[in-house]
Amino acid sequence: MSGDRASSLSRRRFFEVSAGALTTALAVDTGAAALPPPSSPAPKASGALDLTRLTIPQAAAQLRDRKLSAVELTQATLDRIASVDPRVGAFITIAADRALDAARQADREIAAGRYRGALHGIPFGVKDTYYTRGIRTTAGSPVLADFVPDADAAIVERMKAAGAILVGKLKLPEFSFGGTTPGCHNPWDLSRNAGGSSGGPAAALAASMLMATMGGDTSGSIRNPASTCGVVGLKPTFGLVSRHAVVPISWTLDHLGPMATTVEDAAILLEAIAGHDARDRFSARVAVADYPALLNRPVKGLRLGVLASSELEGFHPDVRRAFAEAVTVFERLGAQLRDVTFPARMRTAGSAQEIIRIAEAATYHRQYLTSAAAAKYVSDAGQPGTAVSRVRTTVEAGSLLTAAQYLQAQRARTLFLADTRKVYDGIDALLSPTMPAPAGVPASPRETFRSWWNLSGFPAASLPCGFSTDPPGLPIGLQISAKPFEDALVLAVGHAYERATEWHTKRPAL
Amino acid sequence: MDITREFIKTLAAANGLTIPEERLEVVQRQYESFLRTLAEIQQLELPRETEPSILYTLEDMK
Repeated sequence: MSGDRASSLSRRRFFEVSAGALTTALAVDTGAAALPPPSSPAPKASGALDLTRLTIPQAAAQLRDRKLSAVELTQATLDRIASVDPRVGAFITIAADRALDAARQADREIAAGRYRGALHGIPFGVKDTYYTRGIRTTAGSPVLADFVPDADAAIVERMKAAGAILVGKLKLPEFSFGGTTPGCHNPWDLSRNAGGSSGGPAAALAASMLMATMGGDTSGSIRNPASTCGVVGLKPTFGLVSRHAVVPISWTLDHLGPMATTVEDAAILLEAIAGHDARDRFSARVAVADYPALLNRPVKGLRLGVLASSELEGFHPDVRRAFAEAVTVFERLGAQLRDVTFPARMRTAGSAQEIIRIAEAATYHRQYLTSAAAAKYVSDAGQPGTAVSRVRTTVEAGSLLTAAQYLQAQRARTLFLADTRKVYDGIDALLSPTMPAPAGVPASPRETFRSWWNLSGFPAASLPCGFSTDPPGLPIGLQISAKPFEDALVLAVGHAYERATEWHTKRPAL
Repeated sequence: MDITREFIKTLAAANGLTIPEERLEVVQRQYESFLRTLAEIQQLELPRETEPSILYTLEDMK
């Protein structure tokens, strides 16, 4: 963590981070945090607002009516980060001075009657792959330790245009490679990892350090940590949200999206960041929906596919139980449920996704592999364990793949897309567990059902649907997916579930 | 076909990359893993005219 002034992240520091994460991985059975009682997010017992527990609409109402200033909210956010983040490790860079300057500007505008809307004065953070003008963007790697962009990512531009206050940059594994985030602890059990690769954005939300963050998802990297940390994460339809000026993994698989503590907050964030951007060549020319206004679409009568129990081989019993209970909630809400299985040939999706991802990543990383920067990657030489970075090895080996091999994987993707479309022909949305097991608990599923939605580009969200019992107190996530550009429907189904349950109101005791 | 360190070194050189001697073994293992993954894709029976999904759009699938 550092202040505004960009300071170099030394290779030594990265080794320390990796070593810390490895220690965490080895200590997964030391017990879980006790589950706090259900609570609503807003008032303290004293009647005073707990500024760290507000939802975006709650904070927005206070800011709009000038009962709360953006400076007060930003300062409370910075105070919470100072208090909690030394234990959680969600941040790489905190831009305190810039945030307070922006908050003062927001207060002046609101006082002058120029209120911009629900995000005006709301603090937010982004994964440290997003370019931020004047603030270093490391992608979690010593390779980019001194990179200070002169422009913002499209998403950061849009959030700032909506009046939101950028507070800091959030942790990830090196160049977003991996399903865990070294040095980022799970707020529900600090001995466990937050998941990844958007581990920092998820942990910051779960620890009540931020109410809005932005992540990235190439193989499930928004939904994995959202599930693992008990928050909401949306991977929008491919092309709905611009990826301009963000450090990539894979151009045809990368998605960027909002993370929040409620589905309504995610809808507000999506509305702010969605829309065509000519600077992203995959950006779609579609109208942006009023996602918050569409949240109340009734679930009654919707045809909801339910991932059949036969597909959940190897999933943790607590995940299967929580998923089954979530399905009964939708049954009570009047949805028409039908079991869904996938054609056997769709199981090659993971292989195609891997080859596409690696070949594209290797192409991006060639600029580093052929320069002095190659020596700056976090080393994996002789170091075992899942927390050790293997980026350099992966992209070096990926550089040896041929164009024909890459294109064969993209041909397999064409078949997968057609099959995916057929699966969704008979349903409006599909329910499935997000992760096969809670944080740090080993599982050997036949298929994890996350990267498929990167290969297809169909929208998918994760939201909390329960807690584990063995080990106790770890969040479990429900994944909701739908047809392309039915992001509003994904959010509406999630919102209906939230209104019928209270899992999203629970926060860890820190 | 045997994948050797020398093969990796030569293939990398043909692609304009120099892989340090001490890294050849770990890169070799990773490359072999990719070949196994590719073998799974090659088993897929693709219709003859299937085109790659490189610049696909989802707009017509709404």
